[in-house]
Amino acid sequence: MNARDLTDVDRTIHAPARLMIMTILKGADVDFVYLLRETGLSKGNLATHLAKLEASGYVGVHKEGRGTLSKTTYRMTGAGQAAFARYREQLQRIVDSTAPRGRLEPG
Amino acid sequence: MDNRVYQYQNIDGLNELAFGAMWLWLGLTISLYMFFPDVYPPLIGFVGFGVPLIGRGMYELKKRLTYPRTGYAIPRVPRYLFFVFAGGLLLINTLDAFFWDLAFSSLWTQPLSLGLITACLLLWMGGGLVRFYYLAAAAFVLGAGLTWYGVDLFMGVVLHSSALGLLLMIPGGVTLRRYLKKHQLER
Repeated sequence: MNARDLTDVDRTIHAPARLMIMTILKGADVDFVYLLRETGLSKGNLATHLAKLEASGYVGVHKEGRGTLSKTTYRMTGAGQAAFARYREQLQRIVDSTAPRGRLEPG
Repeated sequence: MDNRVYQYQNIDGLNELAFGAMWLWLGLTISLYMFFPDVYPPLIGFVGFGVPLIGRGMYELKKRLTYPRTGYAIPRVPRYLFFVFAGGLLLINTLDAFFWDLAFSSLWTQPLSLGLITACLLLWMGGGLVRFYYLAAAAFVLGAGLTWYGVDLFMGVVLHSSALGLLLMIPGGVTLRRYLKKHQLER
């Protein structure tokens, strides 16, 4: 593993806020209010990150119903799932390559 | 993270209320059979209609109470689980059709088996929430207790269903009250 491999990680996912969003969306379909509560981001910040993920094709938006009871759900797309799996593998490889070889003696 | 989404489903107590209402409904319909055995068969369709109606009611309440307050989150369930569930139901129905007499005569064991099944369901529903461990234990003890006492065939099931319904609805109601108090709707 080359240190430069770190630059190959998907930067769309790698940003902490977007990583939080992707981690939540990996296991569930959620709405804006839930994401706001779970991530602790401001409304504007969250909207910006969601727009970026949507533009990358990693997150899809589904609207249901009309009026006050309408519901907008965010869902990870197939491309998003593939990209997230790839990202996890890359990170895992990097972490594995930094593991100490052999037994380290204390002191 | 996935477990957190499962736990979130129970943040408002509505699941317990709906599950409890379903048990009460079952108790009510079986007691109808006890008192009016002749009119019961045509009522079966009506009985089946109650469960999806309660489910729909819970969804409508979630839409109006929970989603505007703390948001919507539904865990993504693997597709194969639907087939497992459908297969399980088919198996139970087939066994029921072939061994109806046997199932009928062994009804006395039902509070125990119902208690066990409910306890497993509650543990799955709870996603690790402590109050669900207590509820599961109570459901099992209730079923085992009624079987041990050897309560009358149908009365056992009616008592078990009704008590289980109340057992679930009371903490459900308390949780819902606390949730609404804690999460006021923003104006």
